[in-house]
Amino acid sequence: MPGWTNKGKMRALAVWLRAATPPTNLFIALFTNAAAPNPDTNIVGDLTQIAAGNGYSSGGASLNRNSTDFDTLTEDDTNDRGLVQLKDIVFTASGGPIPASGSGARYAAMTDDNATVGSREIYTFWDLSSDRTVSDGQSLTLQDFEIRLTE
Amino acid sequence: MNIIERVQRAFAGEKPRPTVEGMPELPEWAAWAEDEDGLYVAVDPNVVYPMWLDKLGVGKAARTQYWLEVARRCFTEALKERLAPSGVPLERLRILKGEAWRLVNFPAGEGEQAGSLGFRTHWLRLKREGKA
Repeated sequence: MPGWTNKGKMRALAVWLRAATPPTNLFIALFTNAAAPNPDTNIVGDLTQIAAGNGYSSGGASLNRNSTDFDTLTEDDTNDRGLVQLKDIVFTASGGPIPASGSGARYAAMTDDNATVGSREIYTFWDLSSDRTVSDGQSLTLQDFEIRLTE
Repeated sequence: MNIIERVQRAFAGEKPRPTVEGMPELPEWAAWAEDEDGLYVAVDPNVVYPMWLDKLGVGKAARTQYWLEVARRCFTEALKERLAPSGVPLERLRILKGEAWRLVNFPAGEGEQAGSLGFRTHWLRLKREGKA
């Protein structure tokens, strides 16, 4: 199930209501099925990131906080929620498969940009429904992922 | 009541427009509207949900949260693709109030989250069938 971590909810409120400094960039990282993210998950180190290499860098892909990378906002008066779509995130395997070794990507999560990847806070997460691997030359695309806010 | 009238009723004082100079034309089931943050696209759930569920081949008895989310993702994608050739992103979409289309009014089916994540398979089918 996709959703927000409690850490993410807290950070969003702090940025919005206390003018806390948001991360310069956000990241989308990929994780194995060794541990499932849930609302209580705090940091990348709580999960098992897929092996880096061949087009996947530890920490994942960077996102800017703008309307290019968060491209469609929806105000849903029917279901009383707000949604935002992410641009397509593409990891292209080059020189070997992604992941370079070990288990495939089962989960994706949005994190902050802490210089220490393992300490990055996890804000939102998605279940890719099965372990995903791509072979050399193929791409793993996270297409139109959504983040939603529901009361 | 068409989408323009729905938007006018929902947002008194705002100015829904079927066409806006310099902006691409929308499908007949959507309208440009404007507020203090600028232009956005409005859709009427009483129009778009039955229309897109019908395209998907989902009859009344088969309507579930899963299919409603697939339909929502499909009409959102249709708008994005309609605007894209003009270089205009779908920055803001507003789904107007429509109590009859609240997810809680429908059985879960495979679940709304599965519908949201898995809509692309159905979207590609609609495109192959010339329905999108």
